[in-house]
Amino acid sequence: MAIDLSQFYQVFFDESAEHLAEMERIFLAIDPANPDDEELNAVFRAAHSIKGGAGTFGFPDMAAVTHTLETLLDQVRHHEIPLTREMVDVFLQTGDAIGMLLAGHRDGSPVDQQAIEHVCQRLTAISASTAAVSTDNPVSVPVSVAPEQDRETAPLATYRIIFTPPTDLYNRMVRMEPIFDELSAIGDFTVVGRIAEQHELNDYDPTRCLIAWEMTLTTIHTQEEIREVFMFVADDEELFLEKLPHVFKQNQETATQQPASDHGNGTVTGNRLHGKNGAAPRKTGETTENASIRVGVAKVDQLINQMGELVITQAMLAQSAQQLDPVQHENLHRALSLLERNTRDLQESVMSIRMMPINFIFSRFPRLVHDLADKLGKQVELKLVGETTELDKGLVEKLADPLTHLVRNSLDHGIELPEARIAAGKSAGGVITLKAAQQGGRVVIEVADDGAGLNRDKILAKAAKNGLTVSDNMSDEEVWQLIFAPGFSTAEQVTDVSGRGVGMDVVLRNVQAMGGRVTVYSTQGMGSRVVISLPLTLAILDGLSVRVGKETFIVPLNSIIESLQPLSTDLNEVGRRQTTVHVRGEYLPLMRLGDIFSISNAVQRPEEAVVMLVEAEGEHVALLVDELLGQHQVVIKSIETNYRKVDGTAGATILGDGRVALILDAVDMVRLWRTGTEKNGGDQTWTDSPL
Amino acid sequence: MDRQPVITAESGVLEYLTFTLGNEEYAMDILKVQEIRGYDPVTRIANAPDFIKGIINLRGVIVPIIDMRVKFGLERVIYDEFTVVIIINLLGRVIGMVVDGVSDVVTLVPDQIRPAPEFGSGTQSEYITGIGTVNGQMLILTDIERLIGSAEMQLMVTADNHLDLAA
Repeated sequence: MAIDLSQFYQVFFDESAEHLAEMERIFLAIDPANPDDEELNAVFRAAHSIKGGAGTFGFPDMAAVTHTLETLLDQVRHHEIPLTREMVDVFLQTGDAIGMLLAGHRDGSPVDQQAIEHVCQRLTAISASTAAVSTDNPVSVPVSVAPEQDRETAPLATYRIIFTPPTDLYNRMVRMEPIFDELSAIGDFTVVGRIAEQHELNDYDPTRCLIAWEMTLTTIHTQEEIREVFMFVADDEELFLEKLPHVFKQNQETATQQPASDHGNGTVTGNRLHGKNGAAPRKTGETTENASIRVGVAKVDQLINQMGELVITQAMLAQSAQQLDPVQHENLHRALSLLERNTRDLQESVMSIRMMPINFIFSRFPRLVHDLADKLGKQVELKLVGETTELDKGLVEKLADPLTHLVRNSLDHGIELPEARIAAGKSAGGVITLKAAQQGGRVVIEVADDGAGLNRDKILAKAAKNGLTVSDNMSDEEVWQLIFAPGFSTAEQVTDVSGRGVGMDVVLRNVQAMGGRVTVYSTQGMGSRVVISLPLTLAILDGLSVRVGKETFIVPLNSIIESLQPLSTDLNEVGRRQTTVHVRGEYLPLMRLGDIFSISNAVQRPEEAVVMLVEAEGEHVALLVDELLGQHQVVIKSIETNYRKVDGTAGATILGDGRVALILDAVDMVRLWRTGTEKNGGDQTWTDSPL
Repeated sequence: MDRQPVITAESGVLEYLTFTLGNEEYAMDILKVQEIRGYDPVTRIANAPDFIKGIINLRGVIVPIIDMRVKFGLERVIYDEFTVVIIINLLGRVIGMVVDGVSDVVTLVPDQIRPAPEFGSGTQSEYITGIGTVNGQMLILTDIERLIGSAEMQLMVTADNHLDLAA
């Protein structure tokens, strides 16, 4: 009755991938000069789990590589050999090699055998070079691990132990775990449980022990000492002990575990692996299945679309009900307000399905920075701030490439070489900070470095060479914008990291495609900062509907600070057409929505209209509208699906009466207004397009 | 019966939807037509070309509406209850087209189609694929796909990226 092991493969792959990621995380954080014992143990456990699983499921190649790694790690863990940075690098490469093998088994992707051999060689080389050292100066080994120090020189031997217990084992109150613990403390230990006796399921008695354990132990201890461990558990005839011939062929050792499973009629029942150091046996799939279910993105998107339709329907109902007498239709009104609340709750829940922490992409950067910094000979520390910030899944995925680009840029162009940094009076090591935070309705992601900053003169020179119109009296901000031009790079030489000039324009395009903006801040010699600002969600927002002339617009609620009716004393004419509003000590420029969108019959006198104070990326402006209509939840509909982006808007929505209203984007609107006023010299802004 | 469409396809027969603009009768490939509906008030889009009337809500989808009279340089008319919007679906987009009215669905064989005369520049001749004759009446065959996809329609974002580079 062979049990098909392949049904557990997926779990093994998932778990191994997790272990690999964990190993990588620890190696990147570890300080080679002063490694933390806990961390070393954790890495060892991870490697050990992978090895054990690989052996059990019949992936001898993975087991072999992991075994070599594990051996070395074990020595490091016991302070037999000191950890060096070089070793950490090799360990990381080994992790990659194991990952490659894993992918090979899982997806059938190609495996570079040479790379794996290379890694194994490096590992053994370290092992060999340090072996000599460790015998020269014996390092103290924790007593609890190997009590008999004088046996250090005794030869290692691998034993096969098969314990076939009597069926009343459990009734004798015997537990196997302490024995496994004891064995794993004296050597390299693996155990596989097998069914020793066939039985029918309907007369299965859980109190009877039908399992035989097959163990391998690589240890310096003798057979007698091993038998002592089983003293109170096993009679001599229940315990089969043999010394395996190949002792130091470590790479094959785990591989031979599989063919050796010819004992009795037992078939491999799988995964009862007991790790050294108490890596507890885990029930397959138990945790993952309960914690989450996997659902196709299309289904979630469908759910969100239907949610949007429901919000619109609810708005339509509410609008129709307004015409009914509140007293006569009291029940209807109460039910409708309940509906509104339920819709809102439902919507929040639905939206949260798509949200995921940005750590999903941030987590890839420690490794990237580590590898690149090594390659470039720079010392760089990566700081992650706000990794738990949540963002729409679609945005998170699309952010990966732009962020990778920015981080690579910071590493290559931003952070200087250690000598240059010291010469500039800075510490030798640079810092790159990745920061994410929610600000109002947007998520702001920042890539900052304390490097050289952007070089204004170089950018201007390069821009002129590329045929862009530039002038020396451009503001810094305008100059920084130049780096977003296609094919722009000031790197003096093209490296394989960056310098080909296919960078920032792609970043800008990707971010804009998500409805986001990119801003660059830079100070020469102090570093630069690239800020990406993205909408929090792509689906629904709270908005205030306003009227201008006969048209209705939606202003996102999170960009509104306050609304007020200005007094004529607060208004000041600047030039012929520009006006400022004086609000609590601030003079704010007045943007007439009617002018920006060329609406003919808008209210002209600000005193008769409403001024909304709007925040546009830290800047406050006053927006003049005719009237405030009311607050709504609006579903963002893309105009781009069938048309193109409309300047000054963040999309459109469908109102309760079925009409379409444009949703304003404060920042884009300010930009539109500025370009409009510049073009027309502050005079009548827009040529009225005939209707 | 089943073989009928195959035969017609092989002999190059195509079905056209005919519509009127002013005094002219135009025709377009019927397979591009999604539906025909009356004219609903649109939401105007500022700073758009004047032949783009605005956008409407077509069962939850935002659809731009273009006025073919304006596009073809005909005089404007007041929209009334006979004004018709042809919703076309092409190039992965849904677009509404305002015309004076739709008249018929006609089947044209290649013999009935004559090449369009050269009008010279200034007219919309590049979007006219030919002249068809049905019952002695002239039909102007339009290439809607080329018209909608053309850069001057500004219906799609083309090469112009949104970079306002130090202009």
